[in-house]
Amino acid sequence: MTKVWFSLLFALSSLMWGATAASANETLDLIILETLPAPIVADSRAAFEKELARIMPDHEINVTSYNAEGSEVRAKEILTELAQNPAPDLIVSVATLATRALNASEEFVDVPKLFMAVSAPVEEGIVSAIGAVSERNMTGESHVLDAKVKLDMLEGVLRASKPSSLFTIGLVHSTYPSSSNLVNQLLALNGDYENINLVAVSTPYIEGDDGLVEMTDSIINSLQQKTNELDGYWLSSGPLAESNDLVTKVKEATGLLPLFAESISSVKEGALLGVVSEPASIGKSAARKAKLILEKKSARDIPVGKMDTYTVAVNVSTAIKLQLPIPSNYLKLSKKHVYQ
Amino acid sequence: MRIKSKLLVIYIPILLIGMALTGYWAYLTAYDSVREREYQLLTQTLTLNVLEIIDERRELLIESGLENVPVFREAYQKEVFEELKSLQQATDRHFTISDKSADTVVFSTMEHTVVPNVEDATIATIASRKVAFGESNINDADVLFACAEFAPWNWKVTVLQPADALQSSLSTIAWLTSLVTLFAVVTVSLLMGRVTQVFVVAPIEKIKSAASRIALDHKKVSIDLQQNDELGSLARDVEAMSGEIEQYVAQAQQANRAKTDFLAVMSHEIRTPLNGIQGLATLLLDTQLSDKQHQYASDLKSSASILANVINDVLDLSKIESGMSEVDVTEFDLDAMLNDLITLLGTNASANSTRLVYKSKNMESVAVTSDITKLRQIIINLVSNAIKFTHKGTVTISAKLKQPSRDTVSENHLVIAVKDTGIGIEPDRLGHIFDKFTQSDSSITRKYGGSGLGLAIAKQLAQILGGDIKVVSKVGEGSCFTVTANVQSRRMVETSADLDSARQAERASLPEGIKVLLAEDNAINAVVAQALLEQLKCDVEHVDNGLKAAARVEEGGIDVVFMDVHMPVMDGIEATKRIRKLDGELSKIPVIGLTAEAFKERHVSFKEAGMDDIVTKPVTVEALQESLLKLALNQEVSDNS
Repeated sequence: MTKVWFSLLFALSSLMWGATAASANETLDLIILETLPAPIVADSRAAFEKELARIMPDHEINVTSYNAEGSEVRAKEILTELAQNPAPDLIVSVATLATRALNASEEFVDVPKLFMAVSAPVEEGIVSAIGAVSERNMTGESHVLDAKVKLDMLEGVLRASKPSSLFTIGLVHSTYPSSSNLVNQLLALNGDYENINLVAVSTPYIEGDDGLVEMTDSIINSLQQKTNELDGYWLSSGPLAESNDLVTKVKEATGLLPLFAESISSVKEGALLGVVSEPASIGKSAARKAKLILEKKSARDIPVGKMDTYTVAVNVSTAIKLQLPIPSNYLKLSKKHVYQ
Repeated sequence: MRIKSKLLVIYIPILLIGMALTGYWAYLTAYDSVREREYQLLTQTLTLNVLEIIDERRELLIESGLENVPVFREAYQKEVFEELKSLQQATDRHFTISDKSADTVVFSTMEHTVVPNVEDATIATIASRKVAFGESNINDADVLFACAEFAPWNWKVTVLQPADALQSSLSTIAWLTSLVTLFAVVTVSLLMGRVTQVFVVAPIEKIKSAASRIALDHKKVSIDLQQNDELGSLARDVEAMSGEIEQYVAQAQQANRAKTDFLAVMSHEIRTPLNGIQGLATLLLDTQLSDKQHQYASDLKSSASILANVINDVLDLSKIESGMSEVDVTEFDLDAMLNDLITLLGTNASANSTRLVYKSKNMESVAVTSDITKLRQIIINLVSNAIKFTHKGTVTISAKLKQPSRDTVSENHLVIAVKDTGIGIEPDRLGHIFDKFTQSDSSITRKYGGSGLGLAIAKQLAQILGGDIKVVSKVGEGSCFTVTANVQSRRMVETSADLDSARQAERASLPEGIKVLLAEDNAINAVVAQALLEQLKCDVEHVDNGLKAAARVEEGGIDVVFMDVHMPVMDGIEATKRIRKLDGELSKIPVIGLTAEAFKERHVSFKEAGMDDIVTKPVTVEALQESLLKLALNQEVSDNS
């Protein structure tokens, strides 16, 4: 009788251990679809993977990444191909074009989807408003600060230094969706500020590395034509902002300096002020949402929001050159991102 | 003033002073505290707000490598000025920044920039910064200030604050302190009053009440006081004392009774032989004597009379001092009484070649209610003294009632002045003449005689009658004694009965051959009394005890009995009672007591035993005649009625 009891106890213990081990090693399949190989996209994805592995140590996460090379068409093709395979546990899209393609895809309606590094999810039609949930099983965060807040900050800098001056600022952008969306938001607020006059300086979006060079040349030409009427420019987000030495080239060609930029790298290059979401923050924040979804919370129940962590960066050399001292509160906020 | 009021009158000023001092101390403490708090806030504003605002920006510039970039430095200094403007609106304090080296004001939140005098300021180190702070007068307004240097920018930063708020706070504190002090004084006074009432006044009142009862009743008292303190102890002592007083009073009363009894006995024992001496001397003077023998007999009678007077004085004083002298009030014609006295004493005055004058006011046809015996005794004493000390002069007796009398009895005040033109009294002795056994000069006793008790008795008798005796005197010119007494008076309306009575009194005379039974155990007194009665044409039959007297009365044929009170075999009281128990008319035979006892209350007891009248020894023919006439008159009146 005793032997029987011991045998039963051993069998039960083995069963429980086996179940626990199986749970700990559960494999999760993730697909990441990037829009283009830009630093912000790549860095955000890397931070996402790293954070997810950290916060879900008991899971074996298989991540398969795809890059649409800056093309929405390519993104759709990738998704069509992926539809032939077993459905993953989660599809993550990075940046606007990949997200637009994923949101439009009918093959993955039942698969939970997460986006990151998308500046205007409302304008892209993912949700009707920030704070709402998506009907297509998708959630995520906009990584861009509200246009009004950014204008307020720039106005603060200008007013503190030259309260009676009107600065005409060229909004440098391409027709890349996020870039043009952001400019549209800014232009919508033009006239609300005493010290700011916004002027759109645009170039058509052209895919690929060659396209980036063309877009750079085009925007420099446009700026040259408007040099006399501009006091500086606003470097919008999107692939154009990732162009190497854009700021230097503009300065050489026009003598204009950027007053506001949507990336840290632009501030490093000489933009007076920048308020951005760092890729690490974008990736980490997305990873926390991915964990919720992988733990069986429906993406349909998670509202689309905006990031709550932003980084302020200033370039004091530009400030000195422009004789626009950065207010102390901005300087304090950008403690680790004060560039010479 | 009651003890509670006294205590409160003492306590309240002490409390007021104490509380006022405490309140003042509290005010000073609060004053220092408020000032210290204001300075603390001011210096904190300077060091933790203003200097931090400046320092924070400078640190930021250093960290950003912009310290030496003028545009940034100026911009951040501007930011400081803007923040100070906001701070001024939030705190109502003013801020001034001056350039130390140029001694110019670079910023101020005030319209007219002023810099306080910091010479008398207090220096302190707050938050590692050296700060000067104090009070200054700027443009006729008191301000509190704190200032410090900001060396990196060569700034001197000053924070200013109007002292109005501080003074308002201090004023409020002063008011509150005064109110609290006043409230505390009132509250503590009420509490102390209550505590004093409960723990001191109420027990004292209980003890006082007990003491009053002791004074009134001379009885042991019990005080309802359960305190174990000094007052409780006092209450127990008073209780014990009351017990002792009760005991002592009982003993004193017993001793007084013993003294009275002793005096009564002594009075009897002295008067009895004195009666014999006086009587025999009187009898002797009625016999055939040579001139020398007559002089001896006369001196003997005079000596006996003086001795009788001395004894009477001693007895009177004894009665007065033992409180046994009661006021025996009767209504009488004072004017007539005084006229009689003048007549009586006139003989003595004539003998002294002195004129006796009597004057009265508001006295005619007035009946006065008072103690006639005491009044007569006082006047006789004073007039006798005046006659005694006045040779060939005048003694004037002036009597008056202060208010005219009405038909109804009303209170009045009697004043009788006895003025003489005698030898007068030395001023240094005038104050002692009413003392017992005192005469103005010992030589007077030798020269004029007397016991020295007369004036003392007269004064005490006057006081018993609600008055007093005063004297004014001048040596060689005479003296004036003024007697006062409270009396009642009314205007007399003579009735026919009064007139009849007066007429009867005038007509009254003793019939001859009255059969008198004299019961007297003392042979000498018996001889004297029998001789005196025989002078009144009475047939006297003598027995030597009461038993025989009663038996003789029972045999019949006796008209009146003179019954000595103290006799062997059967005393006069018992014999009288026996006679009153006889049958028929025998029981109504008048019995006149003969006694050497002078106390009136004893006489009352004799009358209660059945005696009709009392004749006090030493007996005189006048006393015997008066008594017989009184009985005869009463008998006649009763027969008529």
